[in-house]
Amino acid sequence: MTAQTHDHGPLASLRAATAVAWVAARQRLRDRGAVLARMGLFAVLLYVFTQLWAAVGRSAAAFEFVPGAIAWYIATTEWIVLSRSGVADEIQLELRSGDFAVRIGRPLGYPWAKLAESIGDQFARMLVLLPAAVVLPLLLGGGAAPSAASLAAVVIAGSCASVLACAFDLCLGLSAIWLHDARPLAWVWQKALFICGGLLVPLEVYPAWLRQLCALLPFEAILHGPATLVLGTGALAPLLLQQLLWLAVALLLLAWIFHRGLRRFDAAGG
Amino acid sequence: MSAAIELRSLSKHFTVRAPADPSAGPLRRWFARGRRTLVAVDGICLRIAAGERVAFVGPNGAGKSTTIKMLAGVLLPTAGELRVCGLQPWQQRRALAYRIGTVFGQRSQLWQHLPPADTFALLGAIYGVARAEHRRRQALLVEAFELGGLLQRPVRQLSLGQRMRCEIVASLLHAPRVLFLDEPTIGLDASARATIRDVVRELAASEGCTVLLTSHDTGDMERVCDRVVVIHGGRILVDEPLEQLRRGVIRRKRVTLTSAARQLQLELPGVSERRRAAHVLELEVDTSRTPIDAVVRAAMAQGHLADLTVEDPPMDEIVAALYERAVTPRATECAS
Repeated sequence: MTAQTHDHGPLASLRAATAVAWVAARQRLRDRGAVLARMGLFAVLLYVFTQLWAAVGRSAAAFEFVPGAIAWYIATTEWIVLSRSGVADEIQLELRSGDFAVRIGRPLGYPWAKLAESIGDQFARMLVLLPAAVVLPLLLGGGAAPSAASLAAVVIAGSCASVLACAFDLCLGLSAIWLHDARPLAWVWQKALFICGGLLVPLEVYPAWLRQLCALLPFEAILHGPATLVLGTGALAPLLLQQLLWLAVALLLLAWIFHRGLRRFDAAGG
Repeated sequence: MSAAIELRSLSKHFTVRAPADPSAGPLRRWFARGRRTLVAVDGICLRIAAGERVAFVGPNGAGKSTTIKMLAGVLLPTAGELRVCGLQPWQQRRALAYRIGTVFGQRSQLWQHLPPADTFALLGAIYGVARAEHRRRQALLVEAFELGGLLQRPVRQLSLGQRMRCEIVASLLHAPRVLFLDEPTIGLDASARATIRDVVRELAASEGCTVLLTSHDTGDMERVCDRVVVIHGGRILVDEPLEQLRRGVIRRKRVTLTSAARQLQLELPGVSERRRAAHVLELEVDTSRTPIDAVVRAAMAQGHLADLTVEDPPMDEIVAALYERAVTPRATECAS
């Protein structure tokens, strides 16, 4: 028997997760066609929604932001949304094909490997879309660029938001163990993210009761929070704390769903 | 010799939805959620020594894959005990993962969008193999499985045979002590099957790796394994060395001859006619009495042979034959 040494410690798991994330990111960057298509979609969405908001603003003075600020707001939220990976669909496909059974037998736990892969994928997309998220608002009448400190804060909070979104997407994907088709649930989640996260409509525009409701949900920490940093109306530290708390909730939920899911998977015959 | 795999009265039951009562009304059928228990594995006992190569065969639904999934820690046994490399698979799945390799022929452990080289590097990192060791091991396996020209091509662009060779390399990269191969040659052509059989046998023999192989292809068990365990209806029917089995059932081959002669007449010991048509003769040959080359020589003496195929009897027939002479049907009576 060939003797091989295996590193089993927590650091080894972290190294393995980093390797998974790195390969996923590199693969995403190699896919030039998809990168360009996503940038094109980003430009179109940003143009359409900034024009829409300009029209609403002129006719009803519906929001209090300085002119052009909405372009930066939407650029930030769309930057995060368009960088999301399709991890929930991937998990569902792996469950249907049976590949899930093969992958749960690896030393790096399935949800953590998927999380690492998805984070690598999302970070690569964020990196590619970042220049567009900075240049396009300037071209679309976003006025002066935010300060370098604001942009740095947005990148930090946006990255954390991406990890948070990813953890919840994993929970959605694993729900397919029970539901078989998690797409309806993912659809509801996505719409809730768009509305309660303030993708196109800043939460400040909402009635007070709806804003209070949104504050109790994780969506605000994913989209609205990072977007307020670019407007200069939010603060980084409280947002990071909020994201961290929601991330803890998401990871606990993920571990619980996976544990329960394995039992269910077992009972159904794998 | 120490046991690499040990099963004692191992059972696995699944709860599945029972078919609705067709006489019930549509509303009742809609709400009726009847369940029934399906016994997939029924108290099997098995001990496989380290370094043994065992074929685990049986018809579809016999319980082969369920048993392998329990051994790999994917499924939790309903009853009984099992140990693989001294570990309890479900409870110690992570520790076990370093010691076993698994290939499920109809599943994939490769990242479809990545070239095999990237997948192998990733698996090296996941299994915590030191880089120098990983490089040496990968080079050895890539050469053995003749994958040199395929390493940079995305897996999704590979043929089934190429992908399966990559799957086996992926399962062997961390030098497992036990290798589970669940139908590794399914759907492959003769050449790919031959490569996989030969390399798996040579590697396992040289490294002392225990192999548990399921297949519907008797060629797989003949070329790779030394012992055959036949399972049917979740119970072990036969557990005996391959040589013993060969003397009994696998010695029979099906030979189809397509000849220039309109009617071949072969009268040889142990050769019986199964089907006859103009220019075509299908025979069943007991190779212990008349070897295949003797049949071919006799046919060629009567006219030019245009085509020749030699096949094993279908697995279902082999299992049926084994069932008739089953000697160890009671699985719950494990030897101490």
